[in-house]
Amino acid sequence: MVNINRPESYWVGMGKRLRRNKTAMAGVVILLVFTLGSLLAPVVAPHPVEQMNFNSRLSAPSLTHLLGTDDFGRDIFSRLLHGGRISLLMGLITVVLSTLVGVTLGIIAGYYRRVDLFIMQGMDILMSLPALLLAIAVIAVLGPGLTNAMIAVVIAVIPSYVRVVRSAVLSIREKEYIEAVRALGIRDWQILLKHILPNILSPIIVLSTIQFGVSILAAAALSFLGLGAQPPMPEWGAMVFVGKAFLSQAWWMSIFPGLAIMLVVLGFNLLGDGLRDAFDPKTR
Amino acid sequence: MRRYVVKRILSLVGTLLGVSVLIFLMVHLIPGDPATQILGQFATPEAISQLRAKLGLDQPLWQQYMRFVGNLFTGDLGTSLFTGEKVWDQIMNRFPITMQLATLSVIIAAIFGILLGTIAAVKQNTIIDRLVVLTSLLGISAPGFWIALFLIWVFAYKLALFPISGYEGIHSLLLPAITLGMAEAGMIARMTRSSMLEVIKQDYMRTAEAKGAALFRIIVSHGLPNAIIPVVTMIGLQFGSLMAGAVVVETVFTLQGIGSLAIEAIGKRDMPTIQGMVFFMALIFALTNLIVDLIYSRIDPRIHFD
Amino acid sequence: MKEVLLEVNDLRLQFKTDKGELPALQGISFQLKKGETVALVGESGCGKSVTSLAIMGLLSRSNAHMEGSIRFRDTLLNQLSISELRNIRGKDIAMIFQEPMTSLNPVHTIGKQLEEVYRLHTDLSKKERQAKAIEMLKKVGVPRAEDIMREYPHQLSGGMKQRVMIAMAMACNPDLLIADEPTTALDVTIQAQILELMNDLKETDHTSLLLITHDLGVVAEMADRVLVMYYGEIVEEADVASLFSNPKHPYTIGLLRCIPDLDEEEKLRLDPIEGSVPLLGEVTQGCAFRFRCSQAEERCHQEKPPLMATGTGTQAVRCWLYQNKEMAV
Repeated sequence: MVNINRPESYWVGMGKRLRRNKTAMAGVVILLVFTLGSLLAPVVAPHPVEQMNFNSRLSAPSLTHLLGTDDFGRDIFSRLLHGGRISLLMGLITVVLSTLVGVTLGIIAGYYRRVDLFIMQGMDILMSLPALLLAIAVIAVLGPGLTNAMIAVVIAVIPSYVRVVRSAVLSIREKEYIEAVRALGIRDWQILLKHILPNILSPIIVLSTIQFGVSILAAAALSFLGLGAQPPMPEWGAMVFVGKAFLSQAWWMSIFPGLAIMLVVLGFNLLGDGLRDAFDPKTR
Repeated sequence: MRRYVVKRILSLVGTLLGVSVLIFLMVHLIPGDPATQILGQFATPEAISQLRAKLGLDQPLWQQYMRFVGNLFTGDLGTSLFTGEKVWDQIMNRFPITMQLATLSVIIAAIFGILLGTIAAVKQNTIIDRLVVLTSLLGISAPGFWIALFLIWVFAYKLALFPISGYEGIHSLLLPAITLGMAEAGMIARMTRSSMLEVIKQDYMRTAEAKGAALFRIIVSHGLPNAIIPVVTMIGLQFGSLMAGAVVVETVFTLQGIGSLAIEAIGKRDMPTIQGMVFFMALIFALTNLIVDLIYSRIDPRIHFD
Repeated sequence: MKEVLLEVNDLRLQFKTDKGELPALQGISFQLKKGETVALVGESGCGKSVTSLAIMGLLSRSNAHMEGSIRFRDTLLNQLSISELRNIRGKDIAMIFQEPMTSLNPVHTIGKQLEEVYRLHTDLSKKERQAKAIEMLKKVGVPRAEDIMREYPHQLSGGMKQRVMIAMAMACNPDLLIADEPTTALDVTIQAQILELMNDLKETDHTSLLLITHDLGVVAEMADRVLVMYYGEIVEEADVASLFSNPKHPYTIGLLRCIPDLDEEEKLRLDPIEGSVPLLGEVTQGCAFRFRCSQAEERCHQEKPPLMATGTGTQAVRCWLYQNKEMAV
């Protein structure tokens, strides 16, 4: 699986396989649409986000309000576009943080056997709780809110990174060429950075892509439970939560934001699957 | 075998000890004085010192922990700050619904997941295969709370087939169980498919064909028992997550399970209940993992714990 | 003259791939008489196994395009439906595979797997099936047959597993047994035992044997007639005595040189044929062996030689070297 002397062509070939992979490209298209939509939200949104209009409360999807309006007469489509900024940014921040912490811990655990037991014991304890419950427990301590929800999600997903990275490092550190480099007297951090990290990059990229979706899903779930982003913030999970009370009169209030979450997460899952196939041509 | 079980139980106790430290610290990690945080700023000093005594906050930390862990392992999870009920009793009152919900959803998910995954593998690279792959990915990607609302909207409001919420017997668990099982079914289908694709290539499948067995028999009798081994493991390992997922589903369907108990407790900052809940879930999680390992040796004759 | 049991006539087979159709078999014809043992010999990739799988109908019909005919007794196997084929497989034609280690299902007991053959092809009751299975295990020399019935494949040695495979193949007393490298994965001492067992069963049950092997030692011990295959074609056909005493095709001669000759001390040196079998689709004209043949002439690059009779018995060879001396078949 791990290619030691990765020539340039490895990444080129990988890119080619990825572009030929219909699954991955479908994911990329979905993610591009949502990213552009959120980035350009102020420009493309047909209505100002917070504009309330009590004459058109709970109006069904129409040409003026593509996805209908909510209980304050706000345009759901415009709110979704703005909400995408929150969800995608939350996903990005949690993924970057958990990757940094998880990969660091994983490399340390895999490379320095002395602390391995200690770190893995800690991870085992974290993993002895289902991720969502762990996140809820963290929020029980920190209190509800957007930032705390992100911290909770980061803590909940870190163990999966540590596990993946550690086992990848373990498989490489015993290879002859690492022994050789070590015999040359090269410092540990240089070995880690120059020789080990590049070789474990592909599982990290695949995992991060999948975790991006998982984080968005978890953060939305916390918001839906009232533990994350709070209404009236146009966060998608919070929008579904508000819409729940109006389900019988205005299904669009909850169904569309939920659909948005599902599509974005689907995008990341498709891309993740495609990346996995592209990195490892043997599986398929 | 017995040695293995003893070893596993010991490591289970170790993990639970770790969890106990974690949940013990939960109270002390709350920024500021826990008692004040719990009761709010406007509580009287008497009430606060009373609570401090009740929580044992006036003793040294290690003593507090020793008492805490001693209580935990004797089944005393403390008393709810609000209802005054024993946390253990609260959990036991609500656990049956969550257990029924989780079990029902695992059954639904396993039936659909294994069936669809197997069909997809046998029909690899056909339209049917692609549909299964996409559907299972959709199941994994869809938020549980959204599936719940969608199902309520369609089946309870539009078609009026199911009660909208609350518990009125086992049939009111059907929609929640489907909701909860959706992601699980997706994962099972994906895993069954890839596992079955691997198994189809094996020599013993060709042997079965050479014997004159029909495709159905080859797949069901020779393929499935092999392909299902990793799937069963995954189902077991996911059971804990499934129970955690019940938090969301119980909230939407207003079911009185332990998930909704947890959310209520967080809303009231009822720390003993939250701590008890977390410990209880860790216990269930660890026990299911143990059971999965033991089942594993039953379905795969090659595994021996000696 | 004995009755012909199996007749393969101009069997052609193409694999459908992304890169077009690859010719795996290019017109194979041979006969197998009742009670006879015919060996298919050649290096891996020459089409031996594909031939056997084609006879069994075990090639995926969507991936492989087949022409020509395979006649078994009075039935044309290549025209049967899948369900008709199923009635023949395991009952009239049985097969043993190369890898006894992986050819048995790891999650089922030996008894269950053996019994299944009777379940598929007879109306016997469960008790009768078990009795038959135990009887069969004893027949192939498995000790403690009753206990073995309850054991799983991983509890058995490789030789025992191959015995079980043979028991499964011989369970319904087939007319034809196809053995694809039955001893290759086994230790030398076990190899001899398995070959002996197959020879014994063949005698007592009057079964014909199509033996696929790359091992000429096995051929010498077992076969009546030999078909040497190269690149999806039969390049030489001979009875076993003529083949060893008077090999014609340069490929056959090369193969024979590869056998360590233990009788003559000084000839212990192995003499492998240089190069390897071309990839499917690589050779479009001429003799496929010319790249590795020291005697290749200009003509070998242009024209493909036909299978030619040599005058010595039924021996035939596909090589231009013998053209002027003999007449084409």
